[in-house]
Amino acid sequence: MSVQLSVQGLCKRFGGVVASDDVSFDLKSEEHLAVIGPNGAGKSTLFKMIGGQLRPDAGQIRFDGHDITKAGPRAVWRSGLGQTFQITATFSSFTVRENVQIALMSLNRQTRNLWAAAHELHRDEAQALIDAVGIGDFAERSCGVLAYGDLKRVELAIALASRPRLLMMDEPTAGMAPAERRALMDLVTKMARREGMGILFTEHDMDIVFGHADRVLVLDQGCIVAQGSPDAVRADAKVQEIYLGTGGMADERV
Amino acid sequence: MSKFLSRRRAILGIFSMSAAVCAVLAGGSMISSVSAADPIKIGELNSYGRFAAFTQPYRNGWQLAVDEINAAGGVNGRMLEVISRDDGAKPGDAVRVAEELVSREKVDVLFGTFLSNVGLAVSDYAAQNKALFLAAEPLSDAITMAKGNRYTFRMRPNTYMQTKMLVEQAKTLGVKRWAIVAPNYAYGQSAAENFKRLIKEAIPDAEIVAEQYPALGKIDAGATVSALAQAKPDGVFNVLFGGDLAKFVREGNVRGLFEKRTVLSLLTGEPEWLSLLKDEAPKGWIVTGYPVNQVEGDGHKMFADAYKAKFNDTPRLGSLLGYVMIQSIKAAVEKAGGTDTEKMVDALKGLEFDTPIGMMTMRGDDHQATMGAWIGKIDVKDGKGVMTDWAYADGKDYMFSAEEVMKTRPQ
Amino acid sequence: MDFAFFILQFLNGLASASSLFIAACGLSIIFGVTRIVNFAHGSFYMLGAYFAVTLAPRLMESINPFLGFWGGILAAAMIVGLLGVLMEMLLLRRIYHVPELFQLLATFGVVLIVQDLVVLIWGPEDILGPRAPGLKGAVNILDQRFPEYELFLVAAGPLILGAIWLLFRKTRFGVLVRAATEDREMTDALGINQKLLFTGVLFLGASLAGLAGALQIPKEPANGFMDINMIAEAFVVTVIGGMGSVPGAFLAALLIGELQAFGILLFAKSTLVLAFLAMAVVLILRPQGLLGKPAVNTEHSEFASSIPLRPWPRWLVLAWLGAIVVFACLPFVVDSFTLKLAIEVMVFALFAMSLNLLIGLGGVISFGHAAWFGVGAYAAGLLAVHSHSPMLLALAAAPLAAGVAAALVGAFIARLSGVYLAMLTLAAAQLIYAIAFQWTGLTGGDDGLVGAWPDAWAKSRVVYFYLTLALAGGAVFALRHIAYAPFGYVLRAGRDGPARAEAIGINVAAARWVAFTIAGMAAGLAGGLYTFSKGSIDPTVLSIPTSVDVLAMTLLGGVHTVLGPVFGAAALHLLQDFAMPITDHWRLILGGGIIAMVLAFPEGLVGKLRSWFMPAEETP
Repeated sequence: MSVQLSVQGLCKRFGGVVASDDVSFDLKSEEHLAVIGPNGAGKSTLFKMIGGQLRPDAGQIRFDGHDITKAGPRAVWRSGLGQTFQITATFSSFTVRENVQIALMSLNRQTRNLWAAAHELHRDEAQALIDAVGIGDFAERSCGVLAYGDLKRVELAIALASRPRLLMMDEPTAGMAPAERRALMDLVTKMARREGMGILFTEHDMDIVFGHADRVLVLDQGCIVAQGSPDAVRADAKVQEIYLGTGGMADERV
Repeated sequence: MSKFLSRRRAILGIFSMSAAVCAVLAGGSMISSVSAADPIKIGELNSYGRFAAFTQPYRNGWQLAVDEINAAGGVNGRMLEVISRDDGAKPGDAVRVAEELVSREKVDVLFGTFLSNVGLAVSDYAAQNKALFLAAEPLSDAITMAKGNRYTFRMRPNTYMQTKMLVEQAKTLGVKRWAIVAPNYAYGQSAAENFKRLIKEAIPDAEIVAEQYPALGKIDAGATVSALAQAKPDGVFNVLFGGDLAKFVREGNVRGLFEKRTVLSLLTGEPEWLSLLKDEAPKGWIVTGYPVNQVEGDGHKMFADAYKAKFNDTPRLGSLLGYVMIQSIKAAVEKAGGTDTEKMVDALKGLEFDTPIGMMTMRGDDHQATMGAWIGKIDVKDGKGVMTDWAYADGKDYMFSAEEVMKTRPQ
Repeated sequence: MDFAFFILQFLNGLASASSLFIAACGLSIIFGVTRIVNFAHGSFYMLGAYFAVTLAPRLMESINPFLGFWGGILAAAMIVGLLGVLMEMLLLRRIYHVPELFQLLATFGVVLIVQDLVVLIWGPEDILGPRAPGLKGAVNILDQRFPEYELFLVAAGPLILGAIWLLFRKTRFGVLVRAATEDREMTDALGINQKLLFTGVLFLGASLAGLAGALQIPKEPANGFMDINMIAEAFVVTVIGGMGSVPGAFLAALLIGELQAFGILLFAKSTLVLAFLAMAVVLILRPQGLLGKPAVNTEHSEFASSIPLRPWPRWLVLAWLGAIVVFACLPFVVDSFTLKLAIEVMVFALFAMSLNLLIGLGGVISFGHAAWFGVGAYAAGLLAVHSHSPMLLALAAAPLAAGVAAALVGAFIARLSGVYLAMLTLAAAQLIYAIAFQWTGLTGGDDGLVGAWPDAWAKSRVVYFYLTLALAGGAVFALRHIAYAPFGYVLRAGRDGPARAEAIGINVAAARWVAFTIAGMAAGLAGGLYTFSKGSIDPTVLSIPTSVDVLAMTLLGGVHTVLGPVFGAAALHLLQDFAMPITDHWRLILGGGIIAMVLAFPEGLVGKLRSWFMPAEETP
């Protein structure tokens, strides 16, 4: 398998705090890679640098052979990298289906269209996407009144709308009940396998991590301390120390 | 809630709101169906809310005249009825108010306004709709000159006339180095332009060594006074009034700007502005104004006594102006033999009418009345600013020349 | 320029900077804690002067000149502080939960009321106060006389800055104020009695404004224009310094004070623009002001909504068609003046709708929307008056000119957000105002342009009514259509979640820029129609009050409704027309009306109707 995402020597500081310290890793096509680490390890910073929301101080990010180190979020998205955020971000004054329709309008470069009836554009395709993530029944509901778990699914549907080759998810199941978490991740994994889509995600729930990742990468204080297969990482002494030191992996599951 | 119910209520809602808008609009028009009965209806508009200091005495003035005329049996047997409105101190609002007075109240003549731009907008409305308008206070030359029209007349001496009266005084003094301070809007700028032109005519080797144009109401008095003093002028031409004037006078007094200098100042002698300064009125300034308690003549005495009796206050210049406005309208109706607009316009051209300060003429060439102003020096007596050594400058001696009117005024 | 004069002018600048700082710092403190842009700050300032000219002379007579004067000044500041408390408790407290712009609107209602109350209580004439005992003379500085009182003012500014610094560092109240300024959510979380904090802050801010006004009395008579004259510059100082930053306000006041002291030497007519020019430059270079913190909360606009725009069902379309038909029948039932009112209502409806494209859909607040209305109005007026173009050509030029101007300005400001963006629009509007005011040769200065009447074929009121109905009505429905088109969706998406929108390829800044241009065009068309309905045009259409009027119309109509601003425009315009003929004190009625509407319909007239008539969205 070829390398899809290549991160080389990424550094980022905020004042005196080092959020990312020479982070390098590769993600192969269709690979599902989990990034774990305690709070403040630099996971979200890493995702924001890849997603284009933050510019790294040093290092390089290549996606499908293109340098996207200095690309903004829009260019990153156009290059085929979809993402969901740690803090759910949907468009609250739209219905569930419209949220996805907006992504499809953007994909089809219709954002300057002053005339068409937006409500009707890509309606069926959007419906299919929200059906696929399991919230088809809520199509006409306003996102402003939706439950948190359902919003996560809306966000997923928005991210999937552009048919990304790599999906980047920052804590996709935070705030959900355990059973719901697994169901959502099963769904995502299944869809990804079917579409040949890579996944890069962070997650606190270790059951989810070890159950759904092909490979795991561990961050602590901005550095990669371990990476490898789930089993290898689980057995890694350094990883155990980090997690035990900060309260242990077990606590994270609750 | 059933969908049907909510739908019906929503239709009801939109209809009720649209109907409310229409009803308010239509309701207003019902009031108008009063028949144009006996009285002569006069529409009046002015900035009563925003420029109350000037316009309230002015309202008292025209009220007094209306009451006196009606008590004496009216004009040609018809009573005068003034319908007065606030013009919002904005041209846009004023045009709407003028239209309301003309088309809904069916007034025979309009008069009033304070600000020049409001006066100009109403004057243009009058020309467009063939309504008669007598501008009371606006001083802009344009109303009777560059933007003059058949339907507009103006009572007060314009900035050109008043500046000319002051420059005449400067001529005898022979002061050559002049500084100008004027508020940064049309009135101030036009007064400054007039001064530059007239001082050169009067004293050919006069020069302007400094000019300051603080924003109206926002003078940075310290900086302005310093900037003027720095140019070492021998004379200062001042156009500031109201609060700006008070600030300027206080700063100038403390900093000695006015010592050993001639100061010519527009309007400062008017009670509206002078009374504010109390014992700090700038002694020795040569000003235009209205020495209300000193003006002689039976006509003025009767006017002032009647005013005091009715309002328990001394008249201001605005009071006199309001009074004169009504007198000019009375004379115009009498001469025209009615209230037909075209006949009144013709009657007003060259109309001679009596006022508390003597006969005046509404010049036919430029529709400017020959009302003058008092020129004198400021002094302080009993803790109050007064005018001394004053004389009445008759407006007819200071008007634009007939040739200039021909050249500038649209025919 | 010789050295002595330079020093003197520098001192002059310092003295006005001090006055400016004392006047503005209260505004900044109030904004920092409550996020309220308090228009009534100017009213507090004016009231301070009026109370001082009333109290000081009496106290000077009954006690002694020195104690009486300064006692009067302090008493005036305290009274005004208590009035600030009153405003907080009776008015602001009831509307903290609604978007902050409504509080701005409510304070504007207070401005109108205070203007009339001052005339009612103190009479129409200005009142000159006593001069400060012991500070009446002048000192000699390098052979030039400099007033002692000015010297006192030079010191007063830094003294008050120091006092505020001590208050903020050494008292619990001050610590809370600082905490609330830096992070409002945090103070919520700390369980501070927010009501008490806000009341205290209003007292502090208002009494500082009152003090500033009172300190003016040895220099300036108390007069009814002090509020308006001060508030614009106080805003400028607050914004340049960084909103909420007291030291920033001090720096900014220094900048403005010196700029004006020396600016008038170079260009005597620059007095109108200098401050706003400085503000524009500072905001373009440093959007958060000199010492302000960058806006933290950019994730969502305060106008984010959870109410979707549903497509109109057929019955609603029919209801609207019915309403339009009824409106179109007006010429058959009403007189010509009423038609004029109807024309103005339509013009303002379009104007308000254009602003709502920015506020309601884009979440972009503009304090200077009058600029585009005015540019359109002037474009039409200039063509009609100077080159005698046909009316339709002039009407076509109006939206074009306004669109170009809005696009140019929008290019600078679309990337900003929040109150700084709003202030930059205000600065742009003031600059355009100054051009119209000062370029007398072209625009006629403040006398304006007269004689822009409709062509012969449209001279009849009825024809112009239908022309306006067609153009303004058409534009209103085009704007409505845009709300439902992909661009409208994208604009709203950028308002609800800018980060999310960017992550699906939406260029939020570009969308706002386009919206700015479209809104400018629509406002410009409204301006063109306005010109021909009035026959004349002057700079007041470009002034701050016009921007506030249209803001009030939009907010009162309801920003989250598609056509709410239409009704807001009708309500406000008709209220004004109703109030003006019945009393000189129509501002009192208008101000009271605005406050009543803000209190009764914080979601706007149409928003209120919707919540009455439509069942609420079910919540989980």
